[in-house]
Amino acid sequence: MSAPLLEIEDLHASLVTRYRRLDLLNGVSLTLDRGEALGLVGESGSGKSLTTRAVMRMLAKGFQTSGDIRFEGTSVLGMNREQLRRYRAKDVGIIFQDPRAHVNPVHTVGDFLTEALVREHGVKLDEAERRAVQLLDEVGVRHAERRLRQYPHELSGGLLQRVMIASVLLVEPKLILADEPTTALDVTAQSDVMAILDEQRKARGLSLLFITHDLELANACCDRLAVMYAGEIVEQGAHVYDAPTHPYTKELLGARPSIDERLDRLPVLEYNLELHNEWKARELQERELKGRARA
Amino acid sequence: MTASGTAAAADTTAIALRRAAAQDPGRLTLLSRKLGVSGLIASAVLAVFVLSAALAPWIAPYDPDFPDLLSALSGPTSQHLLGADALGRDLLSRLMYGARITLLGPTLVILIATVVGTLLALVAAWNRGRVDTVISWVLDVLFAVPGIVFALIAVAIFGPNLPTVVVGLSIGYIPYVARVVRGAALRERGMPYVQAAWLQGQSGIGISLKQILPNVQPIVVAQAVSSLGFAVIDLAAVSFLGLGVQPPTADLGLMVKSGFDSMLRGQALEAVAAGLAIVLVVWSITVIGDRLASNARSIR
Amino acid sequence: MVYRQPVADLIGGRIGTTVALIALATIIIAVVGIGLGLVASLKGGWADQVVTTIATLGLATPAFVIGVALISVFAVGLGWFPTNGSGSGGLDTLFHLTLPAIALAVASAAYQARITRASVLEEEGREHVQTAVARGLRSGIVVRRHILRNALIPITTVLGLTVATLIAGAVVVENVFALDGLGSLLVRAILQRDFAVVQAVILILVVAFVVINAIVDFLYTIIDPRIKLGSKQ
Repeated sequence: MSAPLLEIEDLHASLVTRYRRLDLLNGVSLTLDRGEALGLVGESGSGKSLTTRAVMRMLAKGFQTSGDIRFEGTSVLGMNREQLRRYRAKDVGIIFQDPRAHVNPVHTVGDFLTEALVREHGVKLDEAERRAVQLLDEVGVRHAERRLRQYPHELSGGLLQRVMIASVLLVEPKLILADEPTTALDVTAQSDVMAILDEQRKARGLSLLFITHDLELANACCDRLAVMYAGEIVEQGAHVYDAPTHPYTKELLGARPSIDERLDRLPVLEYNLELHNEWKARELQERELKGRARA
Repeated sequence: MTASGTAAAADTTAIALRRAAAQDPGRLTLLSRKLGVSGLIASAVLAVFVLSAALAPWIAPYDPDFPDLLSALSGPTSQHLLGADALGRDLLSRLMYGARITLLGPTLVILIATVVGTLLALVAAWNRGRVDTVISWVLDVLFAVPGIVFALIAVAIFGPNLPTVVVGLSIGYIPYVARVVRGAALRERGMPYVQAAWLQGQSGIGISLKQILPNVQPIVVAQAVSSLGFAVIDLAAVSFLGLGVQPPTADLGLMVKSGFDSMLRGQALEAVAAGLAIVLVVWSITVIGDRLASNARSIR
Repeated sequence: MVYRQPVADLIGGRIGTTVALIALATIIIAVVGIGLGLVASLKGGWADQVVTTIATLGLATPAFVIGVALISVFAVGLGWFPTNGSGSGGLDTLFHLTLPAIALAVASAAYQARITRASVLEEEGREHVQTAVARGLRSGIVVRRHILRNALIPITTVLGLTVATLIAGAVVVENVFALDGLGSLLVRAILQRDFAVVQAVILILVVAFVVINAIVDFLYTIIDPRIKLGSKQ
């Protein structure tokens, strides 16, 4: 059995100021194999984005972390600057949520696409541009050559997001982190973009960590799902969507209104920190019992 | 290199940080929290000057115009703590009286500029359309010309004296205030509470003065204090050129000028003292202004 | 007409000195101001504190005070520079204009340093810089192509607008150093109530201010591809 591509082991991340300590990630553990797609779902503030940033080792300065993140067996948190740089350039790629903010407005689209190839992967500019045009075609951007000369502000949000996806695919990183890549788009664009991403990454055998709060979308393109609440993963596996076992997951799945129903009130989640802590205490008890039974 | 950080996660992080900081044990007083260490020092320095200027008629050792020719150009002596100028007038007293003009003049300038500028800005922001276009265009033209030039034009027409310079400078400073206020007022105007007041039947003037103005006030104050520093420099410069207050009135700018002549004759104290006084006043005002500005920014 | 010369001749002879003075000051501001601002924002730490303190002091000191101080220390005290006058052209003029240019430049250089520092820091926090870092680009490239290149927009705008302030400041500095430029001509004309000269000089100054503003607006369209000529942002 080969080592998993990505392994997050008991990751804790806290913001520590002079007077307070905020625990934002409370023991996140997950694994991802080569070619696999894992959907990370949860409400806003559950820690999904933070986890992604942690994998890139791009948490803000005030954070204290413990636990480990391993990529192909090597600890990401232990890398030196040069190793980290190469890791980010070749092994991992991240698709951000808001393309408008994440693409430099003073350089052309072509420059954005070819920059990493030319500077970090030793590809000549005309070859890089050729590949960029081809990939833009594949992700559904028409008039690709013209687009290369345009500036980001001349493209719509949906188009720009496809450019962002193309830029990540161009480098062919073993792991793609997609942080709510479709949330800023309208619904039709959403499914289009995800379909393209799904198809392209499968063709190249790349792994995907897909952050979203859209359960259907996650289920449609991921092999497994992991549900996050209050900085930890409460349930993960291939069964989550069809046969959830955790109370929070059940509530989450139950909360989506179906077009066939008529409701007087939209369902509200009752799960809260109190229930969460109770559940954690019970889990701990169970584990101890099992441990004692084995001994 | 510091370029690393979250963005979407930064929202959650930023809110968390702010909440954490706001709840720390507040053993510092409200004022020192607002001003910070440098702000407190600056306030102390400024207070010294303001008090000396205000109380000058009572605490100055000499009449600033009194010529003690026997002590002319002397350094610090037991009779004249900071020495005397070329005409034998006590430097310390002249500094105190000079501070009055150096502080009073620019204060008037900023007051006038702030009142007029704020009114213009509120009118432009509320009415928008053609009124705004006209006012903005006028402000842009005024903005292109540095404040001191207006003072020079005014003096060219009306002769060199303090009121003329004050009016001239005020005109020059109006666009700085108006720009900032207009931007803030436009932002406020778009907010729902303004719409709510309008629907309740309040008039444009009423809303502008009673609703919008209090909300832009921190920015106005910060801008006014920052501009005050520049106004002090401009006024002193105009006096230095001999186009402001006329001798024998004591004014720090004029004192640098006469001190310059004395310096070429070997006694640098007048120039140094007056120059240093100006720098300290402007520095303290600038520091306080910076502090107020960053406070105003962090409210949003 | 106090001088009994056509006003144009009077101005023509002096405009060169003023232009040279301003040009020299601009170079100092660009190099020292932007340089210090970059050091403060990119190095951070104590360098930042030092530069910020110096900048605040520089901003608080009027040009004429600096001028007087420079003369007393370097001209009278040390004798390295002449105390006044604008020399006899070429290198000698440059020599004569050094102290005046420094006096003129200090406050604006301080301001430039502040703006540079603020722009770089603001740009550093932007999301597109994260994209660059996430791609594993070398820090030198991230700084040059994504932080500085973008920060250049406000930095050059301020530099351009500063030139207008320099023109006004030149009036004072020329007086301190007894230079034969437009500034000293203006002051003398005001004192002597020579309205013809005053009008002429003021006209030139105002035209200069407006032209400079227009040039800066134009430059903006070149540096920032989002702004096109004729559009109002």
